[in-house]
Amino acid sequence: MTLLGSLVIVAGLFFYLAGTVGMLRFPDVYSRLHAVTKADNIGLGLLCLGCALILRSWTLAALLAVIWLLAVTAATVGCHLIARNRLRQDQGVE
Amino acid sequence: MTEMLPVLAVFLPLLAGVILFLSGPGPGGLWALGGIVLSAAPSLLLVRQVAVMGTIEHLMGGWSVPLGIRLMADGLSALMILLTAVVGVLVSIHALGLFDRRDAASRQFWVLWPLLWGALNALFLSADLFNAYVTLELVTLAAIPLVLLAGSARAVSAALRYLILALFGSMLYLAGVALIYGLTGVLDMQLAGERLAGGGWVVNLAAALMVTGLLVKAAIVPFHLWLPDAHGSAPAPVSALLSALVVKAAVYLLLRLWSGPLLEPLSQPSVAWLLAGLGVAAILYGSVQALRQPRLKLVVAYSTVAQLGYMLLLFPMAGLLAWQGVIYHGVAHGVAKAALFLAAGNILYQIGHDRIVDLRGSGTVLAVSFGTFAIAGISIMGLPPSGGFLGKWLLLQATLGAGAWWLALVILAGGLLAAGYVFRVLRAAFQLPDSDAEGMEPPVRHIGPLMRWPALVLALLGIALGFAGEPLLALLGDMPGGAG
Amino acid sequence: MNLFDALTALLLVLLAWRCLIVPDLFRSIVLFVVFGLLLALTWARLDAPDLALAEAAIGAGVLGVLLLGTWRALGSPRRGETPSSSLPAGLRVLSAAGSAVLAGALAYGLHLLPGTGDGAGTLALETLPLPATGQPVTAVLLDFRSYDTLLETAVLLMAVVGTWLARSPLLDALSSEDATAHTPVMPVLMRLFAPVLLVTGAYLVWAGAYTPGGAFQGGAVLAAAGVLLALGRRLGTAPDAGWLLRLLLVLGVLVFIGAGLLLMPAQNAFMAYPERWAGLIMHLVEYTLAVSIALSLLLLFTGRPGLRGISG
Repeated sequence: MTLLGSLVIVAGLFFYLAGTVGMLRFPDVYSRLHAVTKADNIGLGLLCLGCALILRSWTLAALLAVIWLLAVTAATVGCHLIARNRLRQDQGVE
Repeated sequence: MTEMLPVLAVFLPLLAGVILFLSGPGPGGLWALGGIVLSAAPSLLLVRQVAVMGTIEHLMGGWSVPLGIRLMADGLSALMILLTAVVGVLVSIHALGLFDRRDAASRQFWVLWPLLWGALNALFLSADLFNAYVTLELVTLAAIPLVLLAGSARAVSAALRYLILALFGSMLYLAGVALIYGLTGVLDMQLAGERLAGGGWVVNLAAALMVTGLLVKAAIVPFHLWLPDAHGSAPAPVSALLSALVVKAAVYLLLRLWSGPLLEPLSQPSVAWLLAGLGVAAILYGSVQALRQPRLKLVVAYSTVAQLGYMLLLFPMAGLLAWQGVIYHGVAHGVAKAALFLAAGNILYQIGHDRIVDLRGSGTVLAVSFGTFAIAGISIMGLPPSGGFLGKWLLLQATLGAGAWWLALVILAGGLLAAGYVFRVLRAAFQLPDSDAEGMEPPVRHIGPLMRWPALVLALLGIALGFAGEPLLALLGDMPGGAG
Repeated sequence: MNLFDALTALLLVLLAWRCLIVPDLFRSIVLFVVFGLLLALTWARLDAPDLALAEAAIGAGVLGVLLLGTWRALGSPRRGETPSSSLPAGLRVLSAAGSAVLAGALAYGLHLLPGTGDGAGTLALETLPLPATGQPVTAVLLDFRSYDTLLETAVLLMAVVGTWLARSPLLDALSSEDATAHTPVMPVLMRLFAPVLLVTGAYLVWAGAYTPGGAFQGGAVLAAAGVLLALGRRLGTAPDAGWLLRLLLVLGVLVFIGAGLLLMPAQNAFMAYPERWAGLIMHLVEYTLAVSIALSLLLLFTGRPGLRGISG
């Protein structure tokens, strides 16, 4: 279980790394948002799953699931607002 | 009952502020009056009890030190609380005329001022290093919004500058307290003082941090930059409270630390003379600046910078005479400076400006206001018979007794310069108008008795303090902690 | 000290430095928020979960929101639109040198400090079974040094009144046009998050008596729910505070002072509570304080005296 959990966490970290690289390397706001929200949501999910596997407790697993859900929702809304704001700015310039 | 009085002196004013906050909009002079009575009564009772019974202590929450917080009302505390109550009541009466609670801003004065009153009393009663920090913050954070009452952009920028420098001062003081707590494990002033005996590098560092922080809050040269703007642009009652009481709160804490936990580090000759040197610089610089200001309220504000300098002359003298002189000077300055600011505010209110060059001839029209200014000026100059004279006389004797004749010269020079800036204003005001002009035009606005008389009473009190030395110095008593 | 701690410490200094020198105000604010979060992590590493919670909720959360609100009120200036520091170079060098000397002296001073065993902190831990609250930090805040806490809550009232006074001359002409107002996702976010924040805030207050948490931390989370509603245009401002709002703003202070003063004659000391009632009174104080703190923080954000609900 612990080994499996650790593997899942490492996999999650990989997604974080990918998201960060995307954030730094992608050319514009939209693709950066794409990279960060998609990759980080999966990364956090795997991280939570890994922790739940290691801790082996249903209560904590449920708690971690709630945390993940909240973070995903917040990231989604944040992403939407940033993208919309940027879109308005771009249209305003044109 | 007696041991409850320190608590009541702190919390009844705070309660008055909260109740006045709740009382809501609409004219309510009676509410405000009730707030003043609720705030002043416990202070006056406490002072009477201290005069009769000596030091009163109260352990908050019933916890003994070092676990809990101790309140202590000794002679020095009682004297400061008395000063706050007397100046507070008279300035409040003036404010009743100016802030009639009809508009939102003037309503907030009656929330903030009782809170400030409670905070000042709390500081004067604190016997705990960290609690003193909290109360000092409270005093500052109540004082800054009061500056904003003027409502001008100038006042906002002055208030922000005040806020930033005051926070810088608090940070330094707090860092020093943290070091002392790390060193001794206690925050009670007396206990910390006992455990700090012997000194050391960290004690010196803590003392340096705390004293520097307090010098910033007390607007001692070179940390005076925030004061003239803040005190000059606030409404008159606020300027009076700030100059008479708020800056003095920081000096009070400095004296309290010197006579208590930080006695050793602050008594080293180099430190004591450095502090006195700053005092000398403040006296000379503040007075010269006051002579050069174009506006009446700025003259009074720079005069505060100068007068605070006298209080630092205590450190190298360190005898009972100097102690009494410095504190008496502080009390006398508080009363006279409140009178000066109220008078200056009245003049500004009546003729719509306070440019000194344009005051020509207004002295005959605004006789009461300028008369008040002149009478308060006597105490500021230190002429007999006045409270200012008594304070400076004691201080002069102390300097001569210690053989520091050049400090005596500075005291005398400061008095002469003060005469210069007071008479400059009076000369402009009482100069006869040009022959071709019709004379001074009538005032823009008239002031009611509520605004006119408190200033004069304060100015006369400044003179009366010249005769009240004996009972007040008896109340002050010996130096606490056997300092010096 | 392990590698992680060293890295955190280094990052803290780096963030603080960047926060001070970036020319773009917006970036500076973001860096400040990140700094607050990292500081919260540091407190957690130092076994101070109470401070960590407070730093995360107030230092990073509330302060970040207030700073961003101010930034928006200034017209969202980007790089180069705000006047950069007008300090002359000489003065900047001087203040940098002064800060460096101060930091060095403090570091050396801290290095010299002995670990004292007989201080107030140790005594507080030894006395702990006595007071009604079992949590050491809560016991210090609400029992041993409750006087300090009470005075600090008065600061909030001053801050709120001060904001009203500072705002009126400067910002009354400001438009409140807001990009977040009309978007389909905001209502969803509010419906999902506002209840969660309310429950979390209430839990933090309740748990404060037994585990880390308390009125300040819980109040800040409750305020966050209010900020969310204000951003989503479900909570508007009003020019004047109604009596109920004013009462709630000072309720904590009133209960605190009232309990202390009313019981003083019987107990012979201010804020000494009879043993039977101590737990109840302290809980009452915590709950009312949390409400007052939450409302004060929310009003600091909205900047106007009054609040009103807007039905969607």
